[in-house]
Amino acid sequence: MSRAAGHGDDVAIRTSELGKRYGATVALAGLDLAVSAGEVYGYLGPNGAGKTTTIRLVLGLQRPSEGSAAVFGIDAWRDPVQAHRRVAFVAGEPMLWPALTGRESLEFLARLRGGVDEAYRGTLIDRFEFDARKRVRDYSKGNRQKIQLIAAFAARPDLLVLDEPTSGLDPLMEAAFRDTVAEARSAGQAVFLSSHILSEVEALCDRVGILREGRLVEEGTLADLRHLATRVVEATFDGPPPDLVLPDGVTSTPVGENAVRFDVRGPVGPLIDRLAGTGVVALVSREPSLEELFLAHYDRGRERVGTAG
Amino acid sequence: MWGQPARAVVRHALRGERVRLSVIALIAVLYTLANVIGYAQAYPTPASREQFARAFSDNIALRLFYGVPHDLTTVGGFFEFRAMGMLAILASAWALFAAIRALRGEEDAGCYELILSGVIGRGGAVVAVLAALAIECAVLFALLLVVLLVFAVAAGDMTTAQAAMVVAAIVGPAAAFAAVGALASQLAPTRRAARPGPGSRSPRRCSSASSPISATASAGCAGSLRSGGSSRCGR
Repeated sequence: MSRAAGHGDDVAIRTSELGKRYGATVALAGLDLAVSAGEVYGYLGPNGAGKTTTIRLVLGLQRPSEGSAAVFGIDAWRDPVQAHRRVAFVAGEPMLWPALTGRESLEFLARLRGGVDEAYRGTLIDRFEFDARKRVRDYSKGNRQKIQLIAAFAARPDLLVLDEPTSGLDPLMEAAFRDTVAEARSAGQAVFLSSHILSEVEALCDRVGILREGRLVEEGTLADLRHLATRVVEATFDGPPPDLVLPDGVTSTPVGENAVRFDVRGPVGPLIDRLAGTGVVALVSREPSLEELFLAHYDRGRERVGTAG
Repeated sequence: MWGQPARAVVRHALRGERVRLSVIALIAVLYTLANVIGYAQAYPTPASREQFARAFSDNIALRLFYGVPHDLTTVGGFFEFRAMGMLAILASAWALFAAIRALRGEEDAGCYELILSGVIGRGGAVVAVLAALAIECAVLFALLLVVLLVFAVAAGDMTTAQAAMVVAAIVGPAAAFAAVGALASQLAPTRRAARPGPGSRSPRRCSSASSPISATASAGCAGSLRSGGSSRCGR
């Protein structure tokens, strides 16, 4: 996707050489991001990769160790008040005030942001099927998350910064969330979506950045990223698979009795040529899912095996 | 800076403390009433007060607890001896913990991020909480002053200046300890550390059991997904 390289207020988030260290630990280094108005940007990475650190820096909650982060051209650390006029934030942990009711929480969050579109808030309360009468301590995690989501979207900010916003939401509510993000995008709002739920990012985001150990290792549209990765071709034969001399950039993995899975880097043509004379009964070619892309990035140089977190 | 967000934070802080403040205020008012009315009723005449003062001022054990009595023949003098110090300690303890709760406790609980991501500056949010503490101290001051005005000054047992002075001696230390708590909250990394003495309760920091990316992803990423590496509260 092309985006204006120029400066100015239409760039919702712009970071340059942004970095944060905690003592000897480098949480984030050399981050250059630009998120435009009307764009949904997916920010991917496992826990501890630096997603939340990035968000804290973009919101000006922490001082960058190096570089800078600006929201609509306003430096987030130096002038957070002006920057926050155009931003709403949803924290990954639905940390709210246990003694308040849902309604009171929404009111408090609205006042903190200095305003709210009440009609739209009503729409969102209905859409998320949220019962605002209970106390926060009696809500499930998903319901507490709804409070934050409703408050953030109802403020109709120019930029939404969402830190793993759908953790705890059930699939129906996740669909409601996707609708709401789509509405925001069509209204010209920018959405910065930090997530490790790949299907969500795949469904929603115009561009994706993949963060690994504090560095942005890949960025682009989904189409761009797919281009870099292998394409999957699955062939089923009428008997045992023949011995093929594979073209460069193609690897094969047997799948069951008569089927082979080929991982193709580059064009598929040469492989098809080789398969032409064999007894192929079925051929499936598909693009890698974001999940496969993501794993491909993470598997590189990560051979050691441990327990997943 | 006193826009709607700052006022919302002040109101929120007041609301969070209203039950505890009410309890402290009620105790302080009842204790004041008991001493002022009790003394006046038990020793109605100058002679009886003289007798009481003589008996009381020589009591070493009481001096140990309440200090040296200066004038036990008046309601004001008795109140100063018997109640002022106790109430100052009570109010100070409340104020110290209230400040830590409102500043460090909220931050520990992760709620401060939501406040700071609103249209309010980093300093503005702290100032708003301090303003709420100042209002709470002022409420305590006003309440105790009214009680003394009605039950001691109106009865001719105290002057207005004396009443104001003794209430200031109660609430002044409270304000000072609120400031100590506020300072400790900024210096200490956790609420527990900001509190005096051995912390009995762990901070309300909620741990996150982050869900894995997906079943397949977490299997494929074995070893690459750090557990518990959340940078949420890292500083």
